[in-house]
Amino acid sequence: MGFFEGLARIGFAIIQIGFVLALAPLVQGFIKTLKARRQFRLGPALWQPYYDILKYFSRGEVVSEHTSWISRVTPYLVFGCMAAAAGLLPLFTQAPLAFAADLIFFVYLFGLARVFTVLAGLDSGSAFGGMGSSREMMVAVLVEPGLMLVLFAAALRAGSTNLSDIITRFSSSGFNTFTPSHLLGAAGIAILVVAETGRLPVDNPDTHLELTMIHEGMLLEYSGRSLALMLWATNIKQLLIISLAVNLFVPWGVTASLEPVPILVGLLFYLLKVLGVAAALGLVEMLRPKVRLFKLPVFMLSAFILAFLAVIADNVVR
Amino acid sequence: MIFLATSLLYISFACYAFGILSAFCFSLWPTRAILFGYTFATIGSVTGLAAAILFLREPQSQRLELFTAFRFTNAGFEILIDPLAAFFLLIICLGGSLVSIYAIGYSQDYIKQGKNVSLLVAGYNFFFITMLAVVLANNAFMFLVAWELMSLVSYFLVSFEHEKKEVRKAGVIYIVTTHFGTAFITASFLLLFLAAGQNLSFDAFRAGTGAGFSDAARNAVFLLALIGFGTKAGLMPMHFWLPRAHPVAPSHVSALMSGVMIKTAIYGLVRISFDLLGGRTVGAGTSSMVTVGADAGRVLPPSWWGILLLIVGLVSALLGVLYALVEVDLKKLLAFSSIENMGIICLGLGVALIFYSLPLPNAPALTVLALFAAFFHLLNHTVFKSLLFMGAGAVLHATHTRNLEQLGGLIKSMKWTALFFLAGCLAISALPPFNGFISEWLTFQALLGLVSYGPELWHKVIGLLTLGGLSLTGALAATTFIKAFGTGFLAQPRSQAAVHAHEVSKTMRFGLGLAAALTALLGLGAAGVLALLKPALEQWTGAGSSQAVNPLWSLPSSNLANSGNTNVSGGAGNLNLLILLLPLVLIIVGWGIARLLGGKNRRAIDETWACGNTLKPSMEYNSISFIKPLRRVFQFVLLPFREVKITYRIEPYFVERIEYQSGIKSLLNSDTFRLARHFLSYLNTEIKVIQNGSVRLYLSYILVTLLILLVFTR
Repeated sequence: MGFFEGLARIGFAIIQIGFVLALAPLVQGFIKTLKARRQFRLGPALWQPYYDILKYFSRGEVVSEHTSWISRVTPYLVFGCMAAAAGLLPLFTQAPLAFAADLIFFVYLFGLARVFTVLAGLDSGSAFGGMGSSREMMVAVLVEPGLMLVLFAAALRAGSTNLSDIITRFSSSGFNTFTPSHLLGAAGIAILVVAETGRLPVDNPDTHLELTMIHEGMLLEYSGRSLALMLWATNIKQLLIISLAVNLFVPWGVTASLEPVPILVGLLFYLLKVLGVAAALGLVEMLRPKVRLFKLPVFMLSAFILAFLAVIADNVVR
Repeated sequence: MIFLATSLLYISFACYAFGILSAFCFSLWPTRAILFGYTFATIGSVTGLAAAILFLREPQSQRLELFTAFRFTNAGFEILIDPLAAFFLLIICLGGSLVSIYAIGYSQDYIKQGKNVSLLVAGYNFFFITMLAVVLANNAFMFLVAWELMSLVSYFLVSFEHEKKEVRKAGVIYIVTTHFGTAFITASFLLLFLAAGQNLSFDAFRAGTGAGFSDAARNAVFLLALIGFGTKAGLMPMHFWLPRAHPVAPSHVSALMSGVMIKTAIYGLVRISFDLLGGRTVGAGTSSMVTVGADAGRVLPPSWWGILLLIVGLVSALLGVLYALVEVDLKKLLAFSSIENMGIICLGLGVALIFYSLPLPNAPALTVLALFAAFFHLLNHTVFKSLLFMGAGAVLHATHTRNLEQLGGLIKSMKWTALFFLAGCLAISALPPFNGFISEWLTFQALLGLVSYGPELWHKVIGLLTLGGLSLTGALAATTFIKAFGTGFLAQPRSQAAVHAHEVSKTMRFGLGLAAALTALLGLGAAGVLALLKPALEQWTGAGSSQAVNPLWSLPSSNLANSGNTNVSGGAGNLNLLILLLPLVLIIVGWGIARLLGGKNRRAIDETWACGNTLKPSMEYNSISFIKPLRRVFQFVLLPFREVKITYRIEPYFVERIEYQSGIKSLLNSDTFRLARHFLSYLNTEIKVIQNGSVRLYLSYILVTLLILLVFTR
């Protein structure tokens, strides 16, 4: 890699990460607005998540005397992990940093962010934080095997664990991409997206009721800019998980060329796909009540089995 | 170079010997015994480490013979340092370098307790000599003698605090189990001994397992070795001694046993399955390095060996981590996690063995990839498990408890220990940028290789199940160590012991810090590790089978798994090690954005919101409540129970007392071994007849044995 190519890549990485950071709150706002309209409420403005984040940034923060440096570091670290993950995922063209890391690293970056969020939940010493942490890890343990297997199913078909390679190969093979394995994997990841984005029926993102909350419980002690970073990171994670699922399983529009027209078309496709999945998430959230915590294993097991069948369908029975 | 390396190795042995000597010389001055003994151990380990690195850089095997006067049916103290032995030399001496300085500080407590520390120090040094002898031995006689000594010395170290009943019991279980394993290893060697024309030398074993060696005998040797070494490695179902023996030993000894000693079992397994059963003819006096192509003159082992290893590894990894998850004793938790990690190492070994047994064009490359995964994880486990045991020792030292429920809030009183322990927790949870992530990544790649290239249906199915199982193991391990750190070090102290905790001494912090720095360095410098281990990885597949390695910052890229067969797709990926630092850069960006949008941060200190109450430690989630949901999810394995006994003064309204008990039942409890136990105690009662404790009687036994032997061997 020459010096200028390297420079161009860095520039591209900055643009893509900036794009994800800017778009993420909008997706959150879109889901909220859609839900409100469907419930015949006016709801908050589409741009409300941006206002919230900006407002929290400008406020001072209250820090608990019982907490340690873990709680102080966590918001920055979680934000850093999510922003780094944003550079690894192909959105509408090749991912700027995919040459350097693959999907295992991508998933483990989420893992690192999760570990620190959970530690911060325990750090406050309150029962709410511990409860959120405990439940978060339970969901994480249930999600992990299925998620890895779905991604490995795609990786095995494409012959690489590199996300750019996988998506390029899928998008270039047209309708032939839709093998039984592909559809099974798509079904599996649909379940996992709900869990990973912390939405109903797994977690309720709109509540602070101790009986139902998972993710929000861990953030209870945060305020000011720490809260802003955590909320923003949550939005980024949601967008990244949606993008991962949608680009792996509906790969069209992701272009390998650097011409402006395909990139613009790709961008348009990408936005449509993401908003489509976001709308679907919102709809599911309106129609389904929260599942009991101990019913989740069955829910997640179905994702694991779908993923398992996806690999079997393509790699074993051929 | 070789001369230098050999001299360094001799110096290393001499240092350990001096360590033993000084321990006894200063037995009246325990402080000096500790200082000199452990300093010699440190010097010995560091020189041994240097020797190991030099040997690994030199592609020739080295032969040495010590004490030529002592020979036993053609077998003396022969030493062969091939790359495999050099790698394990590296592991042992690395463990020693990390732990020995820490031991100086840790052993001080025993002086106050009036324990005989010079025995501890001498045993500690001797432990290294025996472990080194195990991996350097080039004949079965020396191997078994060293193996037996290693077991005995570690038994004495485990039962150092023998005045406690718990310790004595654990020691007995350990010594009985380890002898059970040794019996199988001896049987395995006996079969090889017969095949080699009644020669005990490993060279003869190598020559004797060629085409003339029957398949049944080959399988028997492997199975016996798997049971024998698996027992020492703590693989399920022969793991039960490990979570008993490792926690009760002094913490620096626990660190060595979990970090280093159980690795010698992996050495034995690799030595037998790849080397001795490799079936290659080696000319007398020549180097044992085989530089010919993959299948030249080699008898392929059956691929079910590897599959068996995969199954054993997967079961050990999953069950090990599940038991670690529910454990509240910090050192026991670490011991169970050792079982898990030995399982993960076996996954890499299993894949390597499967590909080693397949005549595929890209099998050598995949063997090397899988072996690298196994060996790198082994190295990593040595570093972070030593770190975590030392951390647990520091906590024990400061609070005198290993119970997580009694801890909490230590991050404020033990700042440095907490930081280093956290590094170990992140590394063992396989999180980037620490070293555990790299070996987990490699194991995933090896398993993906198995699913895509394994020719049989069974290879693919077992590979897939293992991929899912390894992901689950990773998530459970992360939960386990979040629990350990979160409930041990965070929030408020839950007991007086934890309130009065203090930071540990400088020597202890030094050992912890060194190991913690190494977890990060080995992650970022993984490419250097690959370059260093290359000779050990290519030892059986031929030179050049690990080509396509970017020398500086990259790990094996897609070229490795695809070499020789570019058309077929397979598990392959790439990982540029610089990317590990990317999150760090973006943390600064996050800070910058916050600063830009919100100006200077204003921070007010207040207490945690507790619904208007004052926050009390009893409100915290403790280690049991943290894992309670998962305990319920996995209840079909963990078999949790809960007993509530209510005594009433006036039924049913006035309660006098409530007794509450909860825990888990082990799948493999004492009932499983009831028959064996009864048989053993029966045997012991019978044997008691000839044991009356009189020295004269024992002397006459020796005489009679000697006479019988003379008659037979005449």
